[in-house]
Amino acid sequence: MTAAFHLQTAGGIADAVRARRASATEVAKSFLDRAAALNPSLFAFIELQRDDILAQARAIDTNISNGKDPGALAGVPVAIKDILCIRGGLVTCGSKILKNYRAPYDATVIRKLRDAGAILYGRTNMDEFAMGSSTEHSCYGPTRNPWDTTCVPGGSSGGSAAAVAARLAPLSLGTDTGGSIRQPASLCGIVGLKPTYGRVSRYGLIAFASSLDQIGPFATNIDDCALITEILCGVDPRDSTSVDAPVPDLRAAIRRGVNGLRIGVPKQWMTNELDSTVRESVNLAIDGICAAGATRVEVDLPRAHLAIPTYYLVATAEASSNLARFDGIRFAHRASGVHALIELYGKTRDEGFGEEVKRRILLGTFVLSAGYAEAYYNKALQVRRLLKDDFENAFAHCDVIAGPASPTPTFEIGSKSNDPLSMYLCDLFTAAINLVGLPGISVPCGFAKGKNGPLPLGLQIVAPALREDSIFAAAAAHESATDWHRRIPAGFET
Amino acid sequence: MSEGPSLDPAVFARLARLELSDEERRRYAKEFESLLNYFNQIREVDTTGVEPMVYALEASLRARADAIAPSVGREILKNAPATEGGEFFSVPKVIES
Repeated sequence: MTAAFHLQTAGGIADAVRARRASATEVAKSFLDRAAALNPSLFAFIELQRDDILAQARAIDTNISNGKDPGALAGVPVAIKDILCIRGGLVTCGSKILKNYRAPYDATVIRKLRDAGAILYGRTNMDEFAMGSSTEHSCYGPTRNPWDTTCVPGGSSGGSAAAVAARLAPLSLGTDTGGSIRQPASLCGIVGLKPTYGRVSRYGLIAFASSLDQIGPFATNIDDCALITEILCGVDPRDSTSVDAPVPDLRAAIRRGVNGLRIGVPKQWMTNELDSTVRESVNLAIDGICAAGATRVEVDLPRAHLAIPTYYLVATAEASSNLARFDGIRFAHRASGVHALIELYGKTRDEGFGEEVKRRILLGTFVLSAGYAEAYYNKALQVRRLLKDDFENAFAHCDVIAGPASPTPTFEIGSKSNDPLSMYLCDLFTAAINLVGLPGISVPCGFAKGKNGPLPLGLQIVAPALREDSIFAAAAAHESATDWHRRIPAGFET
Repeated sequence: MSEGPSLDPAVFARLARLELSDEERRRYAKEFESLLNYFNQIREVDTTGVEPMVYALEASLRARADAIAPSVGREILKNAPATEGGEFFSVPKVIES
């Protein structure tokens, strides 16, 4: 008797389906039954279409019985953030303005998952247009953290993170513009990777901030993360920002060990002001990787404190431009009873956008407006280059940089709602990585004591552009020295 | 904050084609003051001679061949809030007579 599917790895499920020890239909049914019982307490999924999911599973089973290679993710359910286009399906970015919008084509990552035999498994909740760090800013209502349902899962990919943490899906996709994969991975105690800018095609991803957005996976362990990442990577003629570089052999990187690997720890991240439990857990995790053969060096990121202001100036500017397309003319929602064009734009956007999206559109419009663009937008782009210089200088002394993914464990729903700056500071250690375009991961590295039980913490590992292999080598060494990734939130084990 | 700009949300709401209620306008005005205060840190950085960085991987951007390729067809109109017979987007009158 093998373990229930939700306790198996994605790789294990794919092996079982490929070897015909299990059918994709059995896998799909088992996860659907689990979601029916457990999703209502979390609201990780905003949509799960049983018939469509079972039809996909049957098609995979038919392929297998016809002797076709079903692919590396055969029969594995992969939950999809509600910002990625699946042909014919609704895609709403958690926003009223797109409530009835149906995707006219498949995103490239969706096509790749289909080709690999994965089951596209439901739409997950998110902060509206990926703007937020808590998944509270969704027009459907908040997602809850499976470790403590009074707390947030992080954001903006909170639904995808909560789904994997609660073992409602073995894998999921998120997007990360300033930390939206790594921070929820940290707060939910799972693995979350933001690949290098350009590694993964963004064709079919609804844009928030185009120079920062990147698609990446969530998994419960580093092997599964490698398995799906190798499938997602690769140049795409439909995304001119995708990089023409060979897909990295991450599973080889996992096996190669960390002998001689230099881990840089920025002194500006590990200060006395940092939450002491976070600092201790991160230090212990780094010690563990060093015990496997790596060495620790202190590095300097002298302008680390400028990451948040620079990020929010660049991201809001790009968002105000990208979101100009939602005007009631071509997509989904249009305000009714308005007969003048300008009024139609204003009323449609007022009705369609939520509070945080409006806040960022206003800030971005200010940042780009005549008289202020020089002082804010151009200045931020100059500081962005200085941040890049800082990382390049640091990487002269180390192969990866390690530190916290989030400055704190999860927090209560509603506790930051009235203070935008405190929410923005959730991205303290992640936003610079997007500005500079580097790959970064969060892996589970311990727990803080919460009011209602343990709350997960994450170790962030960052590498130079296109060096995901170094991240996976370090993360694998960490994982084999610990068992944090095996912990499952109470109530979600069986 | 004496030297910094004042950010009246109503001005930028007009530029962004966003209608705001009076309550929203008051709340955003208050929040933007503290956000700008924080963002103003970057104005103190010496960036003389620093080239602005728009993209992280500047070398990777490339153009495709200037050739005609199939694109989306009329089905794109299925998402439009109003069309003329499924053939054209329908909009309110643009030019006042």
